[in-house]
Amino acid sequence: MPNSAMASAFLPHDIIGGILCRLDVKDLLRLRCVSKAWCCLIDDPGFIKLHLSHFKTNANLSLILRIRCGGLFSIRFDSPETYQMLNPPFDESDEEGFDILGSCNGLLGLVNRKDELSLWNPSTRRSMMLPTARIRFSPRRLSFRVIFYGLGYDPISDNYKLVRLVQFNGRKGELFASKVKVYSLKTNSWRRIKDCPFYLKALRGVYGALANNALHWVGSEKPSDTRTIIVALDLGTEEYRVVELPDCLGGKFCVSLYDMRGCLCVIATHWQVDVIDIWIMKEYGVKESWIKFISIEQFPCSYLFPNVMPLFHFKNWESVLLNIDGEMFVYNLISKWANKLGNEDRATSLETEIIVESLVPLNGNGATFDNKNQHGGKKKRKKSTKHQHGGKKRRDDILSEGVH
Amino acid sequence: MASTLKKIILKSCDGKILEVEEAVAVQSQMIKNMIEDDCANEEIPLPDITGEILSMIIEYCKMHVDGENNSNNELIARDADFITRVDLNTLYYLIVAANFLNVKSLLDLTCQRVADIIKGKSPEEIRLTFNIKNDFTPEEEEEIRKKNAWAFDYKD
Repeated sequence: MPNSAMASAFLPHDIIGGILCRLDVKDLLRLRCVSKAWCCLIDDPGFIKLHLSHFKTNANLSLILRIRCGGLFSIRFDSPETYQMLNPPFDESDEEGFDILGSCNGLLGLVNRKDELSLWNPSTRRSMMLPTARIRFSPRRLSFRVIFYGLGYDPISDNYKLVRLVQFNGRKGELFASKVKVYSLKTNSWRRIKDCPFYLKALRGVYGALANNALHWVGSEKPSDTRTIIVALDLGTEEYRVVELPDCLGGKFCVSLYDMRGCLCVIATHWQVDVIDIWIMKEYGVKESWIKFISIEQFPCSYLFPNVMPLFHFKNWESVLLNIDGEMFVYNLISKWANKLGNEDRATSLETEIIVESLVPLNGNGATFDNKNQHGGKKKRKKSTKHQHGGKKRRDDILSEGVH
Repeated sequence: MASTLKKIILKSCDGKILEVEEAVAVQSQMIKNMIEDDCANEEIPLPDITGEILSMIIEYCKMHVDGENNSNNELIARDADFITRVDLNTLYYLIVAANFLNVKSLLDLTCQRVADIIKGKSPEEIRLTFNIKNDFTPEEEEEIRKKNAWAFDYKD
């Protein structure tokens, strides 16, 4: 055997898995044609989980950005020198547009203005349209409806679930009702679950925050109730519960809810005193573990109350990546100083999401489409390209922060 | 401390005897378990691990024990220096041995090194480098390539 070669045929199967789980999805999709054994290994659900957990624990994550002038991009935290233009299953140029409703284990849930839903794995470039979720309901006196969504993983049934919660509200007073359906990727079908007994506040966000395998929305017991609560839907048991907010929020405030690397995160805007507080729940479900993480008093933008979205924390909570009114800031908790990333207009991003690369397949029992073939009738979109220019400064800044 | 001076005797498959300080030897979870079970008082025979590979592994473990107080960056630099001196063939035996002896950090380092070698290579290059026989028919291979044609556009 030459020195340059390795007798890999004799390496145990689990060692080959331990090597391959460190590779990018693109490499792995190419290496499926090395041999039958490698192909089987890469397609194996156990290997897909190993690969996912390796990428998650090593924070090999990407930031998905929607740029103001259009286009969805992803930037890898570990190689920010290149960014990838993405090819979403819904047409970006479509007047209706679409939102990212959630991100879980490499899958993105998308919803367009026609309430059409799609699951998309940008790293394998696979996507699928979801069947329509019909909810027949025309309650008297409840005149308008709001739809809440969320995407997550249920470890009990080893299944990805997309939740569509329709809430009907009366024009006045206490009346509200909800009907909830859960889409299961395994069966590619919708199933009705228990109605939500709590009132959800649409103005505080309709896309659920994912933490501890549960989706979370801001709500209250009744529409008129001033006490704000976090309503959780457990994806395993499909039961609702309340997650308590910290007692000491104090004063008049409104909250919005996010998840940051699996931690629940609350943005409390105190409009009477011009302060925005970011709270995190360090230990899920433990009310005492809420800590005030950041307090922003001098807003870096000229707006009085910016829209603050926490995205990621680095180096064991030493610094945090924030999207403030579409601009990206790295806030260092030790120096208490925020650095704005990039200053080009085109880099301004209204919508941001954190995603991990994964091989999670979109082929339960349903149809899987290659993006290119999905909208056969529509005009052909540009192929994904790597851009070496533009926005570079910001990407370098993200790199210099490091990810731990 | 007396306990750190205790020596563990390891015997490679080609008969080489190596005396190793306990603190170094317990980097191997397997040996650690043997010591805890009181089975390490006589020489420990290590089938399939040559003296050359065993010496390298001990060098690596010693480096980690001595470098305990060093910064993380220093250790990473030493690891990198250690692993880049290793050719592919030796890397193979190191992986097998690190797996057998259960030296987690070395297994991580060696697996990452192989992954770095694989990164960005074509399936043909991989087969050649790792002595893997292509057992697909040309039609089967074409089918797999077609399924993710974009992933083969990797030299851009």
